[in-house]
Amino acid sequence: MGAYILRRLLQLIPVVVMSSVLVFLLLHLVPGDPAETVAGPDATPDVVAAVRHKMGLDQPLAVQYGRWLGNIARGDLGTSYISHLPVIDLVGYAFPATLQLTLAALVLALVISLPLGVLASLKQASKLDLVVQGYTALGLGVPNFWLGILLILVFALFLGLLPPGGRIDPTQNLAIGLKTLILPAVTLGIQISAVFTRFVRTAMLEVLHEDYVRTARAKGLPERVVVVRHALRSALVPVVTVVGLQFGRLLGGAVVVESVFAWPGVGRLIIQAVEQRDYTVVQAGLLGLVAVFLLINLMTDIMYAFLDPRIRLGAGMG
Amino acid sequence: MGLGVPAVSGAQAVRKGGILRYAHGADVLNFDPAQLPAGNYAMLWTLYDTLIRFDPKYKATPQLAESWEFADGGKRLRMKLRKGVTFHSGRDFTAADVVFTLQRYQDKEVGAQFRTMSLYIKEAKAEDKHTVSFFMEKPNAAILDFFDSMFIVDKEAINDAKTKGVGTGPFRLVRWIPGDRVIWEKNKTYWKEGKPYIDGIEMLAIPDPSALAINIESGAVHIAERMPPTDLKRLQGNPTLDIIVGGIGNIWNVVLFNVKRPPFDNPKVRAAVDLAIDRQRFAQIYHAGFSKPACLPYPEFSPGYFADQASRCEFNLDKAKKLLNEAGISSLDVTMTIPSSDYSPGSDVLAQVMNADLKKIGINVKIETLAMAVARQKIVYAKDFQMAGHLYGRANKDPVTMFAGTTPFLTSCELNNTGYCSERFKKLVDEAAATLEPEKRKAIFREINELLLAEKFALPIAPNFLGFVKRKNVHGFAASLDGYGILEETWLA
Repeated sequence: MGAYILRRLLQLIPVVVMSSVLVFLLLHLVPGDPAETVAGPDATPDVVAAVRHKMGLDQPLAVQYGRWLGNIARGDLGTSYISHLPVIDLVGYAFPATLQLTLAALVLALVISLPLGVLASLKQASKLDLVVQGYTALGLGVPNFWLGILLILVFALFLGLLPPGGRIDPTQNLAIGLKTLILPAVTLGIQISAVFTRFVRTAMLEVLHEDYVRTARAKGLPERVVVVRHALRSALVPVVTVVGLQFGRLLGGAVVVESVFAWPGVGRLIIQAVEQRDYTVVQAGLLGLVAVFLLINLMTDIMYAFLDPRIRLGAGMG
Repeated sequence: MGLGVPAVSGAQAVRKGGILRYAHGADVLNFDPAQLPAGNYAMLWTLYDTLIRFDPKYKATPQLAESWEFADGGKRLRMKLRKGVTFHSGRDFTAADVVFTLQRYQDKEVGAQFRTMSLYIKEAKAEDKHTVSFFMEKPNAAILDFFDSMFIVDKEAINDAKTKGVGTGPFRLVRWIPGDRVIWEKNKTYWKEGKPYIDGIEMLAIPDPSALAINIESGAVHIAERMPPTDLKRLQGNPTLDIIVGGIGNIWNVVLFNVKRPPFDNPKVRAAVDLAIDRQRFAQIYHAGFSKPACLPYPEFSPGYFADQASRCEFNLDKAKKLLNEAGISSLDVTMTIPSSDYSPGSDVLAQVMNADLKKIGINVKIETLAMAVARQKIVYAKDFQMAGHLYGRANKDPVTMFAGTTPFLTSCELNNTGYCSERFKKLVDEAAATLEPEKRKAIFREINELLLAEKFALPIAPNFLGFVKRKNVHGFAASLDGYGILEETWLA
């Protein structure tokens, strides 16, 4: 297992380097640059050119890429063209915020979806199943921003129980930090729980008709043991894949919820940096997302082995 | 909140102390006052001071400059600076900082947004520690406009200007969490005695307009800046809130024609489109009635404004159709290029409003919406468009300032992005700049207006504004002429 993880980690390096080339090229091929942002809408071309020169953006792309990669190799992500803050500080503040939100939403989604999915599969075509399916349809159909605003209206404006937005670092004030987390996490979590519930239900329905489940029942095992130990464990394999994918998607894709709740996450950071053409921030942010996404994939693969002993990491997946 | 000892300001008893929670729809991008992205508006007069400041009626009032006088027939401006003012760094503010700040605005590599205006000044000299003279090649009646926008920086702290801005303003920067909030504390040595009243500010970035509205409605914040007009309208009836419309006319919605290309090289076609724009409808839909449509490119308090000329455009589809026929055109396909709404708010609505009416006179409009950088390249630099919907700025002060710095109205043939080129236009604007007598200037502005109304290379539609909403318990808050929040006299009841 250790050798497998090491090999997979080494394999990440060329993927990250390839991603860096793509991110760099795509960003520089898009019209506009930070010099235009700094100089403003009415700047004459000679002023924009002077600002561009000062920023070093008039140098050949290969030179700029080499310089950027060299700096990264030395652990220096550079400085934002717009704010002049070290990129490591910007990314270092935004990533934990997004991770906190994403993890909270995923935990909530799993807490909702596992029992709902299992119950719906056990009571297939019952009223309960219909209610669960209705919940998943609603969860998938309701836009995030709408649900977010609705929750703010109810819990912040009408009931005054929770803050309408902003993030307080829980390490600074745990109680207020958790309060600021509840509404955005619920907004994200409800939508994801709808996806997970459907997957759990479908996977369980397939597994419940397998021979080994029938055998377990025939052996007289209690229903709870049959469902939890035999059926659910196997059904979780495809669910873990979806959890991994959702985790990766949410890291950069929670931007709508981040905007509604003024949550200073990585999605908002990157979107704003793209608007300003703040190359160094976008590049570092996207590379960070690629790296985290690859790590999540690796963790997902490792989870498979725990859930299904037939999967041998070293042999089948290397 | 720890409210302090009551003081007296005007007729109302002022309560000192407390932390003001100020939310704005755009994030502070840095603390360099030479750059003016939307999110930086709130920090300008919080952190910095200017030499003079215009009041809402466009009257110059002393700030760091106590007094000023013109000499040498208007070619020299001498300012007496306030003594005993210190930067947040503890350094004394002197004339050398003023000279340095000006030179910084003039430096191409800084990319200052008001650089064009700063170039009116050929040289600045510190006569002594608290006297500075500005020398111009020729008189410029609009020169004070620049000093309302030149925020004085500490010349010895300039390397950190973007991240740690050091000014003389009423509040000092304590902490900046990009994308989240800026924490300010009261400048205890502020030169305006007894001010600011509040102990500090928490400035929050809330980009979602609905969330911004809920934050102010719920009382989570005291002031909300950059509230969209439709939300302003809705909140107008809320008894716990006050609506403040600031910066009216600083930015305008405009329709531009490329006068170098068919069909808009024909003045009759431009005039026909002008007649087919329902400005009133646009102002109602987009500005929710907070802004009035306009035919002249400046607001009512501008020296260039004349009521009779300002009402000289109309919405008349019959006349428009007739003009098109006179131009020998029965139907026409044109492309209207607009930047995305985050960069050019309202242009999308304007294009939709125009599209419906132009169809009625035989003009089919294809709306081309472009991202900010692409739009800027196409509309501003390459002049690669037929008709465009966009914004222009700096229209709320002297018209000369606008003609010097706003691309569709530039007198330079090379730089005007509509391609309009007229010796007469340039001569008139130069004359308006060099003439100091108000009455003579009025006559020149009337003539310029006639030219604009006749040539129609850029059609002003309606002035934009910055919508603020404050809680009733917030007093003394004001928006500057440009729409920047002024918090030095703000207090919480």
